[in-house]
Amino acid sequence: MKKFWKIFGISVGSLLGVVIIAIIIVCNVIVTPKQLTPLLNKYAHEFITCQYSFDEVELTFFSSFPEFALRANNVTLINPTEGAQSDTLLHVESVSGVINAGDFIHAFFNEDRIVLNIHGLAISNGTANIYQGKDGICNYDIIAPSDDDEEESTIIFQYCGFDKIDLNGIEASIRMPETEASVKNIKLSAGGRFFAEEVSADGKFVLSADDIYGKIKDIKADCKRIELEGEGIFSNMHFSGEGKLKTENVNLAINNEKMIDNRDIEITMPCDVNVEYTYANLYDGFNVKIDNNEIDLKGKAEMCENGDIYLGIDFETNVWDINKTLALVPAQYLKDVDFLKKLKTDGTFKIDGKINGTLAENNFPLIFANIELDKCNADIEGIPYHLAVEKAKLYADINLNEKSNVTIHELNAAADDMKFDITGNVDDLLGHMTCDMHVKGNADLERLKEVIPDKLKLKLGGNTDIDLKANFALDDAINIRLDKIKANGTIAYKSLNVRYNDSIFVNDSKGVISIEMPNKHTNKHFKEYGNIGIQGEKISCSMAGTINAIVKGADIKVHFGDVLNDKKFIETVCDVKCESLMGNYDTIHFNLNEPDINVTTFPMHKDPMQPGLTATYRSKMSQIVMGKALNFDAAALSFSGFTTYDKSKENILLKLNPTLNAIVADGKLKMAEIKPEIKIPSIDFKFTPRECHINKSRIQIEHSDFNLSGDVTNIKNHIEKNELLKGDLKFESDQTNVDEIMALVNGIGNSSEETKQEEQMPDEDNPFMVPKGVDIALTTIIKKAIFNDNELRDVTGKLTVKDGILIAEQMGFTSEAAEMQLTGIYRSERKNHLFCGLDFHLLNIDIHKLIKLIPSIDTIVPMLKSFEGNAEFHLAAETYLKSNYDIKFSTLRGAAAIEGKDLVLLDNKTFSTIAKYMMFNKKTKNIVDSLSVEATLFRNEVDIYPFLVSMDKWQAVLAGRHNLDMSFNYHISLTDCPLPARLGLDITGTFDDPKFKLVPCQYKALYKPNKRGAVEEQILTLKKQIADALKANVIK
Amino acid sequence: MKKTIICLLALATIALTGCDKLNTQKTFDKNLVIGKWQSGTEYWVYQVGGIGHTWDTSDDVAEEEAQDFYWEMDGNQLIITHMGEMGELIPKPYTLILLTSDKLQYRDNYNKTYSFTKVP
Repeated sequence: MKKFWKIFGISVGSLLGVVIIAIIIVCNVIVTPKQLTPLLNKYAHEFITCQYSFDEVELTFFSSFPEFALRANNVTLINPTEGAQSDTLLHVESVSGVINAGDFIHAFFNEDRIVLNIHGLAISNGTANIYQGKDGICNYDIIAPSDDDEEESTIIFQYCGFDKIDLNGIEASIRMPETEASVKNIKLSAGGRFFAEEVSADGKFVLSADDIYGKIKDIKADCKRIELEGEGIFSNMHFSGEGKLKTENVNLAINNEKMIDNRDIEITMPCDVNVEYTYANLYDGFNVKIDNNEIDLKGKAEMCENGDIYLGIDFETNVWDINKTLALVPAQYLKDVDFLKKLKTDGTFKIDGKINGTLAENNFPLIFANIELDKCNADIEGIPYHLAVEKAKLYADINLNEKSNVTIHELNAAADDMKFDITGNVDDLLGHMTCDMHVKGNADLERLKEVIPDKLKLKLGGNTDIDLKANFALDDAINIRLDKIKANGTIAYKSLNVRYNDSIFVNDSKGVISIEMPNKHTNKHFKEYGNIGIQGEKISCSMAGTINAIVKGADIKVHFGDVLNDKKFIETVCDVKCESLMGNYDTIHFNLNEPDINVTTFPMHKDPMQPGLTATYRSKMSQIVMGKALNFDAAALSFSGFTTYDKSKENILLKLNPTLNAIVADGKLKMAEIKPEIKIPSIDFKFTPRECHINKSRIQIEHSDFNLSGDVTNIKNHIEKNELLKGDLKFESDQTNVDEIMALVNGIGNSSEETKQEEQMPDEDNPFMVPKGVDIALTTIIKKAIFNDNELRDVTGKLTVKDGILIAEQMGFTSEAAEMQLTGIYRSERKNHLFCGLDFHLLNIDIHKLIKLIPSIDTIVPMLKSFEGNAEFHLAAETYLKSNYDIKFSTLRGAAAIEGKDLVLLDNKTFSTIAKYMMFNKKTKNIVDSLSVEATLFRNEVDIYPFLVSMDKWQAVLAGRHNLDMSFNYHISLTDCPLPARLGLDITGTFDDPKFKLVPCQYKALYKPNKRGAVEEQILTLKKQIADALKANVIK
Repeated sequence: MKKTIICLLALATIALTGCDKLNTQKTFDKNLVIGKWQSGTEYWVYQVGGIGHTWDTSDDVAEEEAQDFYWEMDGNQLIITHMGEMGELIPKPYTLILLTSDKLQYRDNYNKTYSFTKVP
């Protein structure tokens, strides 16, 4: 076997040696360059029109192994053309055409005509200068046209297509109208079939070149090296196949604006490209790699007749680095994107999507892309946090012609240690960016200090879980244009700590804040931008250290308007509902149970810096303590009202200008100045600076209870112009202790001067001072009144307090003693000068009970106690009192009238003495038929005007003076009696020591009209005047 | 005896009545009463038109706190009527005894005499 291989090897080697020797002989002996070169030189002009030269032409085998080729060395084509870069069109070291050696040798020796069927071409080391002028004249049109003499030519080049083309070391320069190109070191190795007539080819090729430069119109491109290999069919400017382009250091500029800057680009191109119709179909596997950025493309690109390029291409990238990718974007496209100028970022992303549309001078195709970000970081100027994106899935709709939008399907982001999950949309990404976001995350509020505007003067602390939806323009968000921002959601907080303007502090252990912008709620005072709700566990608030409050179970909603406008008062509507609200303001402490509070603050129309305020309040158990001055609690309390601030006013009430509707149930009021507790079972009133309308009320003070209703008016003028505070009130009571009430209101409204005077008075002298500055009328309906320990019933009438004057006007009441009518005036001009006036009518009086009721009557009319029975008593009297209520006798004035019938004259010692002097019949009954007494009181003198006493058959006229020191001087005229004489009796002295003296009868004609003289007439006239004046005010 | 007593009483009555009728009524110039009169701590001011006011400083009353009255003079009769604020009328008739430019004296029906000195 080994021998076989030995023999076989020797045989094959011998055969190869023979063949090689034969080839050498053919190439160097039979067909020598000396034979070929002249031959080709002789006939070359038949198919080349320009000047040419070449050194020698030889038949090669080994250099073109395994085929034979005709090689011409140092081939030069010279075609001088004006404007061309050189006269030399082409100069190469060698040009080889692959031929069929057998056919060539056979023809060379046996036929006159040599037909060179070239099916391969190799060109090495040369330069080509290709030129075409604007006039169409070019330097490469050197192929001679075919003519009829062709049949006569000795050598005919015939190629039906190349099987192989090799270029090596070729340098080319191309200059055409608006086009320039140059390329060095072109290497091409192409196999297949190339058909020159049809400009078509098929097969494989490998092309490389260095230092490529090209320019078409305003488009410039260059690169350091190109390697291109491919396989496919190229026919009539139509290529179909797969190529792979690899470039180094590519630059591309359009209008001197760099589009590609020194990039390495690799393109794998399974495609279908038609140069004539300027379109390209990109198939699966089409891949572009710029530096490390790869993108798979699939679709169609087509250049329209007007130069626009239509793109319909799907694309998908590998993982791209953000910074490197941004660096690929032409600078001119980024120069106006302010956001990117402020951005420092790193990270990777991946995109797939589609480019669809026309690329033209002023138009860009639409780009739809799904973007996935992974571990990205960003630092944005103006945002004081390091931003990080752990993972994000976005969809971008890039429309460089109009607006580019991004949909965020998933974004796991972090700002420092605050983490957020974000979904939403960002519209007009590269222009007026607007965001529609849903953010879930957590935040350390203390970290927000960097983004809270200083002018808000707000400091926050605590941790939050955020679930917010927001729609806003980035510019509006940065500038906090609240009216432009839409937002809603919740922020759950723990350990909340809010500090506003270093004067308002809010703390809470945990709760939920809700946000809604814009607001669905509206109000008539201002446009509401939004609302913030707070549901807190135990909120503690402090305002300037003076107001402190703790809110348990709070449900607070604050609707706000343009709160950042410092040119008008803050616009808010604050709704507060909570389990309890406790707090204090200075010395005021309050504890409110289940309050429901609504407070609206708004700028005044005339002066926006001045506040207006409306408020409603409703609560269950409420307690308000104002130091030791006031303690108020109520089972239920509600009010509503509004106030408009007027800085021009000095009085706080007029400054606030409040209107208030209030309802109190089961209230209790304790005041330092008023000792007894005031119980308020109910009160319903409306208060304005002009008037206070008490709709209804029920008040209990010690042993008094009453319903008070009516109006208090002229409040504003009372404060501003010192006019009287007026009131018209109805006072209904089952029981009123007048003494207690008087003690209650004692001295209200009296001046400081009077207070000083009060201080100088003895401690025990604390007379009742009627409130001043008021004009209040009380229509009283009192079923039972206690006055001076006497019980009065059905007290009706009008009680008026008018600027220091107390008027009991035509008060009607019933006591044990009588039916009474009283008009009384008590005027406390000063403490040691108190006016007291009475217009007192006692009808159907029981005389003894009257004296018990009003003991001073016994002083004025001492003889009254001598009578028994019912009478009618009229008294009008007045005096000034000292501070201890002692009468100033010099001011005492009064008049009284007593009318009675069938009175019993009591049989006492005085009467017995009188009867003795007057010689009354002892059997005479002490019945006084009628009695009509008029008396006047002046200082300490009581003048009893003559009055007639009829008793049985006796008539006597009594008159006299009674002094308040209990001395008297009376006279009795016996005017009718069984006796013949008419006697008179003077009674003087005192009741303890009366003196009796018979005197002439002084009034014998007084009650005898026919005998009356002028004096008697005057007496009766005065009596009538006195009586009429007294009775004038009696209500029948 | 009884008749004697009756006769004596009748004579006494006639005598008393006769004496009364013999009283001659003096007339005074009412202009003299105009002015301010003082009696101790008591002051009376009579003004033209029949009005006036009175006060007593011993009761801590000043002139501006004085109480008003009306007065009328007829012959030797002076009637001072105090009109109370409560509507009461307190007429006080007096009989003038002396009225000069600086002296005023009168008595009431109970023979109580009042003397005043005019003060500026």
